[in-house]
Amino acid sequence: MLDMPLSSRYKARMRNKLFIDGVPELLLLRLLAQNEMYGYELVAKIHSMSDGAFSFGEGCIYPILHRLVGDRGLSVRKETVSGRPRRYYRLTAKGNKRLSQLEESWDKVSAGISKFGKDSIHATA
Amino acid sequence: MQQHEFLARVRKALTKHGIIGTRAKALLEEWNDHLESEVEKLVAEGQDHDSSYQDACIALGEPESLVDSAAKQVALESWQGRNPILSSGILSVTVFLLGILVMVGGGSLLGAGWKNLSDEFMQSLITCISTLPWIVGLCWLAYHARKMPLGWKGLWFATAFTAIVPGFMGFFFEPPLDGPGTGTMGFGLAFLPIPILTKFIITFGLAFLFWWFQTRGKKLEDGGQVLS
Repeated sequence: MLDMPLSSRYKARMRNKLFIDGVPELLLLRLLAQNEMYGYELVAKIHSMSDGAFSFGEGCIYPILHRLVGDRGLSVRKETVSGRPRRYYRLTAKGNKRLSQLEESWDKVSAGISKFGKDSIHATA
Repeated sequence: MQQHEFLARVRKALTKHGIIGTRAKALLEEWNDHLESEVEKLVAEGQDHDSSYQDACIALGEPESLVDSAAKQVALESWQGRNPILSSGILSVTVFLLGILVMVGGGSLLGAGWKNLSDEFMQSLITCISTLPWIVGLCWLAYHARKMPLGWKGLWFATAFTAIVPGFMGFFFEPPLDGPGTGTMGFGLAFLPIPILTKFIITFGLAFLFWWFQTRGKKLEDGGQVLS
């Protein structure tokens, strides 16, 4: 890594940073690819589906959703439920494209990590 | 904690973090819906209404820490958060150009109207023009300390830059007393009216104050260990 030119090292670091920051986004987009959902539903679903492994927190999820709406990756529909406003999110074509990009990055990292599995390391040693 | 108290604290914390307007309204509505949905779920499971509110508030977290994490995420999600180096570079250049513009503008005005000004007033104006870039630099430093777009390295870079570049910059003006073309006006190294050492002490003193303010909470939480 240190032999790499500074610009490449910066790009690689930014890619990793973006990737790590992109995990909650990936999960949100994946869930919304299946159904239209609202915030609480998404948070609860992430928590239950990951058996509590992922709990990004309500402080983190909503700004991501709002940014995705701003980027037109999601569309939002407002509805009044029991006298309070609720936002339902739905994946758009642009969001679908973003999901594909994130999934591609995830697959690369996942394949890279699997090469470092216990058995592979023992076999190389 | 009651629902209205919770939301009032959230609203206050949002304003404190500079999240206002439609963004704040949207977050408040989301958290309110989240809170109410959790209460409905707990009530459906057989819990009474009041204790459900208490539990839902606890599950959502302290309003201040909830807003704190949202503010961090909002900062990360912004264009500046996604392009920290580029945006910080653009901002630095803008601040630097602004400082130069202030000096050029002030100097031009002084050059045009020096005949109508008393010596004392002209001297004060020169002092003001000389000090303005440094003041702009201090504002830039305060912005860095507040938003931390480049983290600690960025803050100390801004401190050193402000202390050295605008700190050393000065403006000089000699009116054309002996006819047109005899006066001089320009920018260069300045050692007065505020001595360089004083500017250095003030700039680094302010940066240390910001640093202390930013790390104070972390120090308490992490047993005296400051996290970078």
